[in-house]
Amino acid sequence: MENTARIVTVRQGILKHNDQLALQNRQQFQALGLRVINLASSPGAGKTALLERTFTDFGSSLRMAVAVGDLATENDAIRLRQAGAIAHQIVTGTICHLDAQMVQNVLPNFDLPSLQTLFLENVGNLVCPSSYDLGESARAVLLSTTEGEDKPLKYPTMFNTADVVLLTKMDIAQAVGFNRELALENIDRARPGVPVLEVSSKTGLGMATWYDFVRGKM
Amino acid sequence: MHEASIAIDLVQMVIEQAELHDATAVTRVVVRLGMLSSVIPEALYFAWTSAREDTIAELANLEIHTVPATAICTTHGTVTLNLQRGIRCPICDAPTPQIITGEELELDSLELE
Repeated sequence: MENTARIVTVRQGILKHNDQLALQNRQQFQALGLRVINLASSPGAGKTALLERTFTDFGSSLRMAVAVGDLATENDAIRLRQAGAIAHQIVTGTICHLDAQMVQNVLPNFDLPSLQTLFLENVGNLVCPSSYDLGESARAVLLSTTEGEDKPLKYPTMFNTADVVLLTKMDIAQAVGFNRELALENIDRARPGVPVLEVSSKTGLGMATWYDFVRGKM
Repeated sequence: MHEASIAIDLVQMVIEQAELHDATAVTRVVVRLGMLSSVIPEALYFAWTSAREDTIAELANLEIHTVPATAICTTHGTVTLNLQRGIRCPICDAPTPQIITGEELELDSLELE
């Protein structure tokens, strides 16, 4: 038989399956009027601490819940429940990010119509989560003062998809020699014009503006 | 790294396309990878070689075409970004938030038999 080699043009996104599921999630969230915030950062930047403070401060005045992704443990969900949160863990196993399917799988654990805000705390990682749309309303990326000020330039994709950047652990900025101006410049280089919130989950500094963002009023 | 997940999705797409076109083998797979896609070509190659095993694509060569990040500068038009300096015009350093290319993560084409 003769060789019938032929070229087929496809031109489709490799993550189209994820993007379709993310669209389903987004439509479901919009129909419910639910604000969904995807939180991403490197490990240890303070995502869980930020949420602990957020749940404690809001108390019952805003109906919120969180789905938290981690490779192995349920520790973060336990911490968040101690702060009064409705929290469900997504154990991702060897996968270094949340995807739209994992979010879809965890949603039945929540009473979504009773909620106003749902947080999706991503796996601590500044690379992989950037490619995966979860269907969120907004993406918040954290950078802590204990990390290098050049992180936004090292991980431009993650920062370039941020709707807001939180500079966390501002209470210890001076002690660790944090160069605030340089960090702000690098964030703006990675995502021109993105709002930056300087916060401390420990002291409460700057949290009021974050709470406006959580409520969709920023 | 998420290249393993991406390689699995890629193989799945290749299988679907091969079935759609009644192919007996896939000989070449061309992928377009933008500089802002956060996917590392070497890691994708490596993940691909195990993801394609025991599929119609097991002998297919993966070709990765890297797409530079380009954006619009209000003064200099379409410019190629130097990502070391962020999303900025390489000539005048103005912010260039309107990105044109560089975010691609796509299956471009296939060679089938």
